[in-house]
Amino acid sequence: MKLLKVCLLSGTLLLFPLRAADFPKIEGWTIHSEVWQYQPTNLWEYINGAADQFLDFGFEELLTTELISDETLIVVDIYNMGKPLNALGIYLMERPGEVRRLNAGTEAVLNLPAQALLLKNQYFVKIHCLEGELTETTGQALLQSLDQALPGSAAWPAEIGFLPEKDQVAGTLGYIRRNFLSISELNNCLFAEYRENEGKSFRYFVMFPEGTQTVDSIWEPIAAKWQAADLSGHPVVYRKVPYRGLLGLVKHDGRIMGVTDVPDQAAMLERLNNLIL
Amino acid sequence: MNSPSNNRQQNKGISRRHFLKSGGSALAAGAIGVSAGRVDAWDETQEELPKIKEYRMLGRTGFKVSDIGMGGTRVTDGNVVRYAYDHGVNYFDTAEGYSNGAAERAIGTAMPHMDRSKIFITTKLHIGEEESESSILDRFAHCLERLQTDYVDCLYMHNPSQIKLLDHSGFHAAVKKLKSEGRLRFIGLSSHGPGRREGDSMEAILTAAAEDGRFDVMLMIYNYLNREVTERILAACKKNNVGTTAMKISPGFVMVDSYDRENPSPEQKRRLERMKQRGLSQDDAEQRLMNWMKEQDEEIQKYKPFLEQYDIQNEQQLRKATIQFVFENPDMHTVLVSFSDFDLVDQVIPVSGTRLSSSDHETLKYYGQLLDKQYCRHGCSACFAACPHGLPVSSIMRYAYYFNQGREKYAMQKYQDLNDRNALSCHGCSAPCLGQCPHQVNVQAQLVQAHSLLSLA
Repeated sequence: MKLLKVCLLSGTLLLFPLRAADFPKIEGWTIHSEVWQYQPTNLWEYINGAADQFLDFGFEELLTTELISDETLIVVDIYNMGKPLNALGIYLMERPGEVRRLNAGTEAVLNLPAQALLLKNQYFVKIHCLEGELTETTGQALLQSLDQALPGSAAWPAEIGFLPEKDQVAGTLGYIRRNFLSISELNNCLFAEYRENEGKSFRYFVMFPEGTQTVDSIWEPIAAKWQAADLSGHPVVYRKVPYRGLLGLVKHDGRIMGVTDVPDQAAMLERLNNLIL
Repeated sequence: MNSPSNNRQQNKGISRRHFLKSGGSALAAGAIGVSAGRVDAWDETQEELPKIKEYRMLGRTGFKVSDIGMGGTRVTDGNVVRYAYDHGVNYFDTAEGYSNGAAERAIGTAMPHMDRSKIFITTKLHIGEEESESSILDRFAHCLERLQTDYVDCLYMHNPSQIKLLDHSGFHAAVKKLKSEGRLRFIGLSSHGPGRREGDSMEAILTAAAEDGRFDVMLMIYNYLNREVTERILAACKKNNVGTTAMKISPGFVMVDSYDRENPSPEQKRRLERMKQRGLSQDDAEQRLMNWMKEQDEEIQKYKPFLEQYDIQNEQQLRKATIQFVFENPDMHTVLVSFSDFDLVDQVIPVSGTRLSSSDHETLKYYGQLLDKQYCRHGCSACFAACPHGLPVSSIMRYAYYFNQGREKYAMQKYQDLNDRNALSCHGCSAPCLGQCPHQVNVQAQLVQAHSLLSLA
């Protein structure tokens, strides 16, 4: 804990894996069980089939324990997802739709009376109540304490900056690791929905290389398979997606960006043009 | 769009990847549900989408099902379900346990776009020995909720391990209630063999269920190397007018890329990452990977003459033949394919209603002969009794099959679930299993390979 505090006080972004002995001490709560650690090889023992989803998002380690305060017994799961974008992806998948967001960590939500979620840096924290009930006050204090205890920046992952903010529909941000829109070539896609006239909407997305992949090694097989177009010298490829209209990709400035849910080629090119401006 | 000649060039372009079949062992990669391959994108302006061409009567259910059905193990997108439906698929198989309920939800998402009266939906529940009627009713209610339907056409008992479970009182009480309320029409049974020595074989369980009179549909393993047992089950089903559905229709393929340190294949990268997660250095992980690939490459060299003789360039050619092989048997009513993306639907639907040509017959026959002694038959338990460690041989081989289908994490989890009943015991064992296999498969060697694959040891 000493090292944690030093990091926080010095404001550095030095990150390190949490150890069981470092499980955050939360004021007003007492650790009620052992601190269990899970790795990619045994996460399934804890969350069974749901482990697949976490592993897809680059899960590295889980620390989990029970905390007790008066009549309330909770389980706190701290997932280290390796990098902020992965933590964001799993957080967005787990976040309930109709809950109020709190100012803790990068983002937090309370789904009273049983659940609370926190995103911070490469950490995704999931709290659920075993006995008693979480209240607005206790839940908020708990999330803020965890925010203080977890290392790293609370800023949103830098990759989000690749998506335009203008006209982005709140709550539609997502990150999919595999088979975005059931297209086998589209992996590691960060996306959001955008509002346009007459209540219609479309999606922009950015595709990120993985491991030793490069933008070109992703682009070339797709370009060999899909239809081609040109956007002021920037290469564009596109295809139809069942029930979604056209999907187009543009290679620009060392990135692959895309648009989907557009009705025709002209609309696709116009929106791609807006994306790269 | 692609021209056929472009397609051929593309296929040639993957010549770096050697491939061929192997047994359901650690070497096998499933034919269905693996890479979608290169196909034209879907075009809604096309005058006619490829459609299912043949429908068969599903036993006494009286429902005519498409010869290609949708398997649900890897389905999570309702639009893919809808896409299959729009191509004429009308049989949708899923289970409570597939992708933690996401597979059922995908069908539910597509439900508003499908005519409920024209589709046949099945789901499955694993039934524990002590499970109560109320627990089964509660789980089934959640299935209906996820599927967004008022009723399920067929509820399968999901791979029961023993014949005695066919008489599970809680299950039958729940079924009686559900049928009386109009929430369920038929019941069925799936099996891919026992997970434990004391379990009953796929043949014993499915034959008993076919003769039982209460079970209307069966889901079983069937492929060109695993036919004798299934054909006996099919005979029992035919006699009792029971519907039949096929899974695991390909024994699999071997796929080995040469290793380029600067540009490893996605599969190689995954393996390296896993080994490093287990504490190996980059160099040690690479060395192990290269040793494994060398062994695989030596195996592949044995089959090169065959591949060259029949000009087999890729797994798609064999995939088509494996589906057609199942179509040849009129007693099998539908083949389940796990459509994970749109392109796979495009690729498989045109096979509907087709048959093996005489040269395909010849190819498959010869291919089968080559692979006969390498393929550990799914669902078989002939060697179980000989194993001094009580290993669930068939299950271990099945997990290796899943691994090579791309369901690596799931396969490794299932394997770990076996705890010390794993194939580490095979190292140094006197191997009384050798000689027990009716197909002369070297069981010990395959288990050792499976252990290496599933534990990345």
